[in-house]
Amino acid sequence: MAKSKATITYISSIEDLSQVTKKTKRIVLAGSGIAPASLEAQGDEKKQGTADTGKYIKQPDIYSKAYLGLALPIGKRLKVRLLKHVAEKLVKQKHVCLSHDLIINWVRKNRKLFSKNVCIVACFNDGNGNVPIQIYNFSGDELVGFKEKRISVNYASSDLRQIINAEKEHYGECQTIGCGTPEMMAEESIQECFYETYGEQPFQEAKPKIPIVLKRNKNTSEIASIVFMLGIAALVLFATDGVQNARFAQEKQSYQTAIQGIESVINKGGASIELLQHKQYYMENISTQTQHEAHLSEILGAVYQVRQELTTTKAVLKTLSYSADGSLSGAEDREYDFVATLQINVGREENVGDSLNAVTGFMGRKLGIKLDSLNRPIVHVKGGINTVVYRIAGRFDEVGK
Amino acid sequence: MKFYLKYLVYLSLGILGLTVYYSYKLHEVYEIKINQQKAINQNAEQIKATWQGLQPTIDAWKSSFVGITSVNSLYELNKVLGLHSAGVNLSASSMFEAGTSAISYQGVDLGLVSRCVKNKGNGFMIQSSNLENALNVLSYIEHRLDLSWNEVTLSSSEQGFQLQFPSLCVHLRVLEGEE
Repeated sequence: MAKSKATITYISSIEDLSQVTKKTKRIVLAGSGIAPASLEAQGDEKKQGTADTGKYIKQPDIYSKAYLGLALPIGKRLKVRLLKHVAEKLVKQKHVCLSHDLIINWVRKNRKLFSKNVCIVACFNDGNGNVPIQIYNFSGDELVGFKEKRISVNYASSDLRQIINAEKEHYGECQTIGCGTPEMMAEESIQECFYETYGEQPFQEAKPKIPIVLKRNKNTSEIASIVFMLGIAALVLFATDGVQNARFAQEKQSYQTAIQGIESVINKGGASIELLQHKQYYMENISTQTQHEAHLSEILGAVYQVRQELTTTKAVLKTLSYSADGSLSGAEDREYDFVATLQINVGREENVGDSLNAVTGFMGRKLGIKLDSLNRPIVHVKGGINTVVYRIAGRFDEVGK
Repeated sequence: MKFYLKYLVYLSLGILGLTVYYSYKLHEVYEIKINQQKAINQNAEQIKATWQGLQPTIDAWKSSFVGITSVNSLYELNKVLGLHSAGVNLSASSMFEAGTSAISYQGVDLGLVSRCVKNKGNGFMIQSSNLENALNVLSYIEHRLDLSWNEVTLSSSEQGFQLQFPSLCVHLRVLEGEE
């Protein structure tokens, strides 16, 4: 792969950011060059056992020109982790290289971005032909396990590969960040080592697997989230409309089935039902009128029995008027169901009252009702026989005494 | 791009929220419509059940009352009276209309028209040779739901027995095919 001529700007302080131009493709933030306090403490402890380590710690200027061997594209997440006024300078740059302590701090702060163990291999040329290798790894959320190894510059490539592989073997699937001096990282053998490790050249392809890939995945995941959310929205809307519409259609279908054969009744809004119920009540009411004939038969039967049992009266029914609604007028504004006009023989005239009482009482008892005499009886004499025509009336709802 | 992604996510969340909200509202509207339809269905079922329960009344109504459109003359009205079935022969030529009125029950127009007839100046008279026949005629009239009378006078004379009504009325069905 042909190398492009990258413009690299080394920045040791905030003031150096003024050097950044639109043409700057990579920025190396050299950082303070001082290891974190915790690392210094670790170094102090190790100083007693390892002279090289102690020397290394005591000469922080070694770090001053160190930079990560990965060119990290400027991303929003990375930007906000930097100071705002620094980030503002970097935002237009395509790539930036950060010093090891910045990247370590950044990694520590962005622990959640790393799903696996992280091995950080920082290697620097100490100027004496040796390359100190610093190895970090995460344990939980803490960046621990600081180790230091030293390899020869002459065998840096092969030794570095061994170290990286050994760390991978020890920690399993770990992501690796390498860093070193510009001179060292310019060596093709070192670059090849990282190339094999990362699958791409550290300077040429600014597409590290971590953590920028995760950020790019974030973009993808954001787009996927958008699509997912819009899909969910459409699904919810579609499902709601579809399900409810189907339920409503089913109810309407049930209605069509329910009204089958009675459409005209339904259209009249129940008026037909009400009318029909009144028809039923009406028919039940007029059916009870059939008792009128029975009443007439009772009256006729009573007259017949008068004739049979009170033989001297020779009672004759002249007329029998019957009202279906009990509205026959009578004496003293009373209304009756029937009025019968009878002719009876009374014998002697002084017996008229007794005869009439006998007939009226007899009929009343037979009918089970109280009967009224409606007119003053008039005695007719015919052939020497006194006859009386008189009217009696009654109501069937008045029980006789 | 990332700048816009953030707002696109917010926008999508907003759209999702709005969609869920309006889906819920849509669901509510549908629920109201479905419940209303259910109530209508239930009402229709009740009407249908009531209607089916009243079917005997419908049949009885049709068999008891002749449709008015089939009675266009006194001759046909005399046939509807059907007194010949009770052994009484009456000539339609002696009949005349005594009035027409609508029948209502408990304030409801039943769809019946009462056509009243007379055959004498003072009423409708039926002559019978004996009391038994007279009572048979009266029984026949009474059992006919489509015939009505308010008052009857039974009297005897040398010719036999007479039943005299102020008028005799035939009830005819007006509302055809409402069932």
